[in-house]
Amino acid sequence: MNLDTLARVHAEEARRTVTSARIPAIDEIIRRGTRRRWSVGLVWAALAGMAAVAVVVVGSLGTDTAPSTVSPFGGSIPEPAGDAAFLEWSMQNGRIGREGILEVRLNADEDRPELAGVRLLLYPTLQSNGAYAYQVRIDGTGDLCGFLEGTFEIDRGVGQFLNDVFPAPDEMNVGASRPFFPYICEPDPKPGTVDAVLIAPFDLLLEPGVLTMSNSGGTVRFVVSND
Amino acid sequence: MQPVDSESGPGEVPVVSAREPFERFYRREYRPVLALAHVLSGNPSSAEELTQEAFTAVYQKWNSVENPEGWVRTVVANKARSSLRRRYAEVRALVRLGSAREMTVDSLPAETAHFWTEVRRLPARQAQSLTLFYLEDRSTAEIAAILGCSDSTARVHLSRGRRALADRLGMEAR
Repeated sequence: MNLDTLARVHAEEARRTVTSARIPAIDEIIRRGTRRRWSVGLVWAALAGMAAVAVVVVGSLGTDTAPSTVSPFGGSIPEPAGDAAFLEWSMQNGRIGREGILEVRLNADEDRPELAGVRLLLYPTLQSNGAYAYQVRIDGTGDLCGFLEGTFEIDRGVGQFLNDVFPAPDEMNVGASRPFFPYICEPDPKPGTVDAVLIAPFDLLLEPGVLTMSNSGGTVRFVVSND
Repeated sequence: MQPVDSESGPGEVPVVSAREPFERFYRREYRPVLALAHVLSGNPSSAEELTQEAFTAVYQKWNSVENPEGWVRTVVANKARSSLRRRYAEVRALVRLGSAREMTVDSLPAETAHFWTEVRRLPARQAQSLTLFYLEDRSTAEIAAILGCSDSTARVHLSRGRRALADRLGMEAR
């Protein structure tokens, strides 16, 4: 007997095992679907609750700190390009890529008073595949309301952002006209090690209640270090 | 007969009209999909769980999914591929057994179980291609549509799978 013949014999046997299988009532499937929607809803509600707590906790840290152009880890913070909003960063509570929180601040200047108090937060977690996933959140006060969050990953040792893992804007918690697209790392990014530099080529144009980003503006750098 | 989209070409998985009631689709496809899940998971109780999960997923996207017949198989193939999901399905099935619900899928005869175990030991795509080819008599175009790859890739999976399986079983591929 050749393989084809043998396979067809065993396929017939396999088909036979389900000939008297009970087909669950359609209601059972619908109930499961409804339950799953509830489960997903509850998970999102729990995540939103945790996010709210995180914002409150981080908000209580250093909100009075004056904007600085000097990295607390010794790296230099690049000058803002053109009219781009300028992000600077600081480390809170440990190492990037581990249990730490990397906080990236929007540096308000005289021309951008609406940026005061606005912060962009990255929450890194180590994934099972060795990559780091980050939750990005931008929260603000005053005229800028809402926040944006999403996840992007840095490949281990490569540092390429996976842009398409961001949710569509309408799935975010803010009226964003487009998702947040940081895209590359250099020179040899190793999250959790020294001198991984993440570059996001966008400028932030903030309007009351609406967060809009474009990728045609200046370059914003996040310098990541565990020193 | 199921309503079929007239734009489906020969060799493609027929596109079921969105106007077909979900229940009719469900009743028609449940057992074939269950057999697929049984072979791919190797466990009758997991198979029921995976099948119901897959139909639940289709139900939730019923209005937007274009090809539910192919899509439900894609879901089963992907879910059966993950050992973690398989174990989760087994646990859920055990819980269900604990609640004294009757299992209605027969176990495979020993020789048949051995054959499909050898199929599952192949790389996942080869195992899925072989299963869809032999169990469901799918063409390579249909297999490609379900696995989300090109027709030529499906042919390669099938050809390599056949050769590897024949080697394992000590027989000729044809």
